[in-house]
Amino acid sequence: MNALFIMIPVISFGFNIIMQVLTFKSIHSLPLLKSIYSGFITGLIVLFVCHICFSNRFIQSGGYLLANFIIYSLLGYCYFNFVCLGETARRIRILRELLDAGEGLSYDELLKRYNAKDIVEVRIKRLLTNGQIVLKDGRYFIGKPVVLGMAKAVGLLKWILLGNAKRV
Amino acid sequence: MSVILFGFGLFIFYFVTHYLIWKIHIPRRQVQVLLMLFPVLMILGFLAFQLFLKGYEGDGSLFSLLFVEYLQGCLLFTVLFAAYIVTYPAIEIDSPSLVIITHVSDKGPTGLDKELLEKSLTDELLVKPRIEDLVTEKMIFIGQDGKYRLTAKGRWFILPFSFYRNLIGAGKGG
Repeated sequence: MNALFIMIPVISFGFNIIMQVLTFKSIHSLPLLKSIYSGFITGLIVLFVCHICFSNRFIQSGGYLLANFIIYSLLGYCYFNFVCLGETARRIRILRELLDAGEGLSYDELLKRYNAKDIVEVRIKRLLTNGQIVLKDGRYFIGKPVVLGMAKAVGLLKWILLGNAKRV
Repeated sequence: MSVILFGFGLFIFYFVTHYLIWKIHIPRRQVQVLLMLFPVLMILGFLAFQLFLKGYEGDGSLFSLLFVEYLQGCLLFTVLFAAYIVTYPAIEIDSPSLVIITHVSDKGPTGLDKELLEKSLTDELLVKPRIEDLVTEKMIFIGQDGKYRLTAKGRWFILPFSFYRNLIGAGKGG
């Protein structure tokens, strides 16, 4: 193996980002999540092609391929989180409001631009659209349990690392 | 396989050390401390691995690594660490979506009243603590006029997000 092997997942990740941005910008009906998938698959193809091209014993470099696949997948996961943070994170939104404001914002001015009502409205709409909760007779019920499963997994990790500390 | 073992081994060493430190005392600026631990534990982990190799009397072929393989192992550790760091805020702070889901789930078959849910999630609960976090993390500060402003750190942090969102033509998010 030479140093170029180490760059393969990074190069593939570059293709991942380029394809994700291009597909999202050019296909207007494409949801952001699907563009992330298309970028990831493109990068994966590049990863395998690079391994075939730069290894004259492709089968025998299985260990390096696996390592590079793991590295690439983790880079893809980090990118997914980066995109999600920009889409949903409160602190990111607050920072963006301050960036756009230039002259600074008081607490009340900040709340006029971004507040709990906005936060809750967007999330409930998303949860309803994805069927994670359903609304019946003015009451919410659990629909599909996917996000509930995530909440429990995160709760468990939180309990392991932080005890029962609650911070919203 | 040696590369994978080395990379994951470093990460397990990092995670166990982090867990033990958190059991003694949870730092105020948790992500900051996690970031500071990264280079220190990478070096310590590497040294510990070298000591292990010196003392290991069995077949060392599984653990013998070329320099380039050490680099690949360190890259693997780095991306494992990066993946953990981007996930950590979700562990540290309850996401409003997960809070909503948990509240609804807790009510079981009776369901949760729509207005009650919306009234319980206030600015005091959802916005103010996040502003305070940003002040603690030194991403923003309060000026003499009482207005919040970005620090240089906050500005550098938000620029990639702002650039990306503008690039894809998306809104401000949140």
